[in-house]
Amino acid sequence: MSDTPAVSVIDLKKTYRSGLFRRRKVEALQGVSFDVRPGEIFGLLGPNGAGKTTLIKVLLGLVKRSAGKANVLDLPAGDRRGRMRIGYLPENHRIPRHLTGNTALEYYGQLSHMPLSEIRSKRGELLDSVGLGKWGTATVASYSKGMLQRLGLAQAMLHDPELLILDEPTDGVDPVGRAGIRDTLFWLKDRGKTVFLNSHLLQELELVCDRVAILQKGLLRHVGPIQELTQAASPGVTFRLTSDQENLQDALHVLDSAEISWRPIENQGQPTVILESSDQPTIDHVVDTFRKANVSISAIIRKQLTLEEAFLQLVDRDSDEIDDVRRAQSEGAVPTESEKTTEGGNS
Amino acid sequence: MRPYLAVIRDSFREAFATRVLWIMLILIGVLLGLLAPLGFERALSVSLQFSDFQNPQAFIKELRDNRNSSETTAGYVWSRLSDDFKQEVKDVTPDTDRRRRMGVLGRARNEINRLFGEPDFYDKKVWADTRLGSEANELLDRGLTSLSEEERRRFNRLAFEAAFPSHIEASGRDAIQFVYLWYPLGDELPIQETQLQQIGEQVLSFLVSRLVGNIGVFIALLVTASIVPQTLDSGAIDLLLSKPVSRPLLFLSKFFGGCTFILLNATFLIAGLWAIVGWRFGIWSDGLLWTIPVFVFVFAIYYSVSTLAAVIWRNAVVSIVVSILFWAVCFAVGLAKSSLDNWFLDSRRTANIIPAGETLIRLTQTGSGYEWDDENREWRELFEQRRRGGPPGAGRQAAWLGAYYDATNERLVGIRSGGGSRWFRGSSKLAIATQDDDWKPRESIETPSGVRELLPTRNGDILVAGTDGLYRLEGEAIGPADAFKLFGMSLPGLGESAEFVRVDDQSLEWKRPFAAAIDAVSGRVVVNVGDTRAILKETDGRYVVESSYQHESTDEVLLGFLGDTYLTANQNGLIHIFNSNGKGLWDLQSPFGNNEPRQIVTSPDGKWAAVLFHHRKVFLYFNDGEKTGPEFSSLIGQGDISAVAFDADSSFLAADRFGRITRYAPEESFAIKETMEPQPDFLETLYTRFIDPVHTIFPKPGEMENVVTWLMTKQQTIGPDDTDELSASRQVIDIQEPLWSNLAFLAIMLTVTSILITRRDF
Repeated sequence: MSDTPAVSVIDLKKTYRSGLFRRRKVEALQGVSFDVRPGEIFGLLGPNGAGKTTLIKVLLGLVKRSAGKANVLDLPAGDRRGRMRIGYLPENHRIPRHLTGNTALEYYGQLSHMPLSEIRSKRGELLDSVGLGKWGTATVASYSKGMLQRLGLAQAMLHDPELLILDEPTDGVDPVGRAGIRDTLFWLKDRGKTVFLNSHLLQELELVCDRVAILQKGLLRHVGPIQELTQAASPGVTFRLTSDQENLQDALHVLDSAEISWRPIENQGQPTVILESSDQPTIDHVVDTFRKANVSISAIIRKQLTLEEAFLQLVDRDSDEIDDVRRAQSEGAVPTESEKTTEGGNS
Repeated sequence: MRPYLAVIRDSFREAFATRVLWIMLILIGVLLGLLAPLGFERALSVSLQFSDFQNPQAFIKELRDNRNSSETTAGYVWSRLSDDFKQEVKDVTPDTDRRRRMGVLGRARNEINRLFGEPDFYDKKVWADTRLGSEANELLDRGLTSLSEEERRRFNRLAFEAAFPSHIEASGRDAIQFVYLWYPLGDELPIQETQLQQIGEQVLSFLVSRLVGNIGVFIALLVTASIVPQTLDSGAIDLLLSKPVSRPLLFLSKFFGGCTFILLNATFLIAGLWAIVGWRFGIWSDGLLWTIPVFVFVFAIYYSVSTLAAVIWRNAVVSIVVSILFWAVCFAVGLAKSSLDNWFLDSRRTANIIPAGETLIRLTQTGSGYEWDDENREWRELFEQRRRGGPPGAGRQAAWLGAYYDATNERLVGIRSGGGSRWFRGSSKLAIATQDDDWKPRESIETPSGVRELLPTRNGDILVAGTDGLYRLEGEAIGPADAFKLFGMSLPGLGESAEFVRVDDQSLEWKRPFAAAIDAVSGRVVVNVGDTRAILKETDGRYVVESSYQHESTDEVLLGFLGDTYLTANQNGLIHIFNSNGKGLWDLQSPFGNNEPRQIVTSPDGKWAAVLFHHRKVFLYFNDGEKTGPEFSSLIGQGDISAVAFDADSSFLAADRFGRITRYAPEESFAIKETMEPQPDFLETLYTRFIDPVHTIFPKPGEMENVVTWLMTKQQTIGPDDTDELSASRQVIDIQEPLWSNLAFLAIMLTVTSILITRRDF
């Protein structure tokens, strides 16, 4: 497998202008940089208005970038040769209602330069794989939301693309269908395909994604493996202790003097403290301190956050920070991300 | 190309998926089903038509005047009319309004048609002094009792028209009876099967222009207005543009795909009409099939506006409103131009050029006269048109039937047409103007009925020819100007002593199609009467047939005499040169396709002839006895030439624009000798500097109807409905300009829309 990223985004910016004289500006992307590795399932997260759809549209060439760089499959984003190797399922897609499942695949397959004979030989198996095997001759007008979604996925896979960009692929799909789509994604991954996933259903992403990127208000807040995110956002480690009050106070004084953050919590009369840091040397140091002060440790509990919890925590925490950064940027006190990159490059 | 063909193919799929298309196709199917039983049968021409009356007022007057003399045919016919109708005729006075007079004429026609059906209508005694034609004599020889009902009616009709040659047009033998299933529709129509094609094509041209060009295009615009906005909907356009396709080509594919609705409807209707008319009438008009792409093109022009609006506003309703606004603007620009053309400027165009000795006079379509003032470089008005109001458009007879300068008597001789419609046209009068009287025309006596040509003679005789024969004016046409003043007012005309005397030897059956020309050198006259062409030579004051021959054509023709040869130019645009014996000298030439000729002029030296066509182009012909053939020298304003003439020294004159006349030297390859053109006034400047250029660059989807007419008839002019006369003015239709300006407009609109789509974020 090639080391060239399937998607490479460097300091990508997009500003929409509207109004009579195009004076009103909306900065949808404010210098986003990340890579998507070939063969991985990559998730894009973010609250509404974060710039996720804009980012996808820039990758497909539907929207022109204002600044920065975006490459897809080693070609400039939007390049027709690149689009030939991409399968795209848009959010709330509209397949013309006069088409049937079969003719829809013929139509979109031909738009991807596929010969009709090849489409006809593949479409039965493909519709079967998304659970629409018996619906090929029915008009799209008679399809449910979930069926439409599955047909959309089928058209995205039809021309055997290297990269699939799926925007809310499980939207409107029932749990069984969702499991089916999940299986399809793993099947694609097994075949070496890269999947770029945008979804609000974080549990779904957590189950399938290798890495995720979190966008908020046009800024990239995080990119990396899910585990890294959930650990980084961990709420700390809980120590359940058994000790007299004096020894416990001595031990906590030692922690204070070592500048280790902790906080007590109520636990049915049993002394319990939560260590805010969850890195291993700190935990080791705290265990040694308690044992030296004759404080017995009856339990050490490390809590693992879900992706959703981690996402909410990150978004909530960062929201204020972003506002502060923006305010500072507008006052000129803090350099923008692109300015930082430029400065770094010069140094 | 595969993706774009897929888009177009999908448009067909989409069109067939809409209920509107199926409803339209069913409606068209029903219409075709209703039209299919319409057909025709060959019949004899037995019924009198409105158009057969040459002068209905005079005819009814003659009947009434002879009501007490039953030995005359007029009195006899009067006696056979119903009492109610007789009373109605008696009640008609000069003050009777036009509608009532029309009603009387209609009932007169019905009454006479009733008489034709009566077995005892023909009375040998009454018709004793009437010369029956050969067809009537043949039927008479067979015995009236042995004739079929239809043949007897035909005989009665022939006897009737022989009795009233001045009032009733002679009819051809054959007619067409329209039938629906097995039932006849109205009276038979006196048209040949060959004419049926022409009429059928005109009717079809009108029908498809209304059904497809107007209604069809409008419905298609309503139906297709939502296609592009729907395509641009979020979720639909993302999916399309994520595919490896070019945005402009995707748009163009959608655009041409949008034209499938009108293509399917127009093809079904027009191909259906083509098949029905071919099957039932034998008219296999290829031109009809060619109108299908024309109508799709017309739709594409409006649709290009609709799609541009759709790309900007993404709303189907706005697209429709913008398309309607576009139509309104095109209509307004076209109306402004045609109004100015028809009401103001066409009336200034030269209809006759009259080299009058040292001066040059031009007559306009509406009858005004101007003399060229070389000193001031302007046309000095001699007299105004007689009647005002109303455009001088197609169908309107020229104010002057003919006019020339009589060098012998130093006077201008012309026939002033009575004007009005065919059925109530005023009588035509001879008019004379002299330089001493500052060229003011003074009207003389009425010309004989059916006069079509004024023939200029070398000796100053006034000779007129028509479907009643050849006449010469005897006596003084006009007396001294001051001799006819009563209480200080001039009285028109003199002519009590003047009269037109028939001077042909009466051996010919004078009838339509009629044409005549005179040889300026020998004074011989060539005439075309029906299917006979004859040369008449003056002998002792009478014109006797020197030679004649029959031809099979029943086409309207124009004639021009050129030394020992003469030219014919027929309604199909064919020019033929004959020697005096009627032997063809020169192959048929059709220099401007099917376009009809309007005027033939020949040079006094007998070497040159010029044929002016209704689409304002001139064909020149040379014959000096040794060399003969067409002359291809270029003329200024070819395509805009409204009149031509040769002057006394055989210089050629051609009029174009609104008052420009150019004099050419034929012997010097038509080198320009002189141009007479005044400074344009405000109206002409406004027209030439603003309205015409705006109209030229503006799209003209409405004028594509001209292309349809041309495809169907192969003619670039639209003729009047009530006359076959080739000299009657016809409206020139421009085919090239609307075609090119519409193509340019369509290309610009599609380019702009493609650029917008390419630059836009979706």
